[in-house]
Amino acid sequence: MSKLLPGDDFSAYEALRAGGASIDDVAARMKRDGLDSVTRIRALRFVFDVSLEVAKGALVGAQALVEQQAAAAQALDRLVDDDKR
Amino acid sequence: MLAPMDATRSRPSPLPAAPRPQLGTATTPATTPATTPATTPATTRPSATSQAPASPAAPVMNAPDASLAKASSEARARLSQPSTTKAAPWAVARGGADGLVPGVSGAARLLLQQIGVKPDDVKRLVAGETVLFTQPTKTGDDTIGTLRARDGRLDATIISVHDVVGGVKALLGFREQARDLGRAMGCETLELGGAAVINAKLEEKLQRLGFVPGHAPVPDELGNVDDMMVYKKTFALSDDAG
Repeated sequence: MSKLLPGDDFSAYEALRAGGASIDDVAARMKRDGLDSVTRIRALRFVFDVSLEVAKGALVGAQALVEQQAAAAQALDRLVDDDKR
Repeated sequence: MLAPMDATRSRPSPLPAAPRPQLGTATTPATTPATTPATTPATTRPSATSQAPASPAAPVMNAPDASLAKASSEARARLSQPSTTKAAPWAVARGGADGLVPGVSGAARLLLQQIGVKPDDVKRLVAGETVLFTQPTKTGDDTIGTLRARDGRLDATIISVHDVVGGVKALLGFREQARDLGRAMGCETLELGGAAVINAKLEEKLQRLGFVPGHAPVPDELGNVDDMMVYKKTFALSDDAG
């Protein structure tokens, strides 16, 4: 069970979940509500009881996250090239 | 249109049931205005070596020969004295064992600000705690990571890069920032990490580059209660080429 910080109140999002909203729907709603990314991750983990990886995926969409990490793999190639020089 | 909370869940609400705030009212505890001054006066900083008092005889450019000779002999005398601490830069950064308020150099403070560490967290960082940082991006969500400085080593871990356009740039820039910060804090090594990796290709590449999988606690700000997988690799900061 994910941990809360003082002042957290995610009951409205729990209600959305109880009403059948998906994690992606709730993540989008949190963004529209202006929650910062750290709070969104914490809230998603609390409301849906998911891992950090799943919450991260919901923030940007799982497919986008896979693409970003593929790009990061390419970035690592550049790091290696830099180190060789 | 708020449905009642799921009664099957036993988690207690962190706040009284009513009145219900609007959606998205998650708040962090009120932070007091920076209690740490932006710059610590030099006179309050613990010093690893005794400083020569400022005087006209202090070494200056183009000083007369007599002044240089005097300054040189003073410097030799200082060097011949035993050091009061073994790990000088790090001990200064942490305040050493004497309980003094930790000091952070201006360069380190600036880098911490650039990386996105909150001013209130700087003290926690130099006390050896893990602190979260967030770097705003132009086109996406914040880049999220953690820093921990302990025993002469800076652990710098990226947890999340959500900037679709600038993510790669952020990743490359972070290594430079972490390296500069480690040096500014007097660390001897930098442990770079990437957490919560879900792309198999990236995992494979990290391992080929010598990053070793391990675990670290998820920061409280991200929900804690479990560990996250972190690929880590340690770099020597004394290596000029590094």
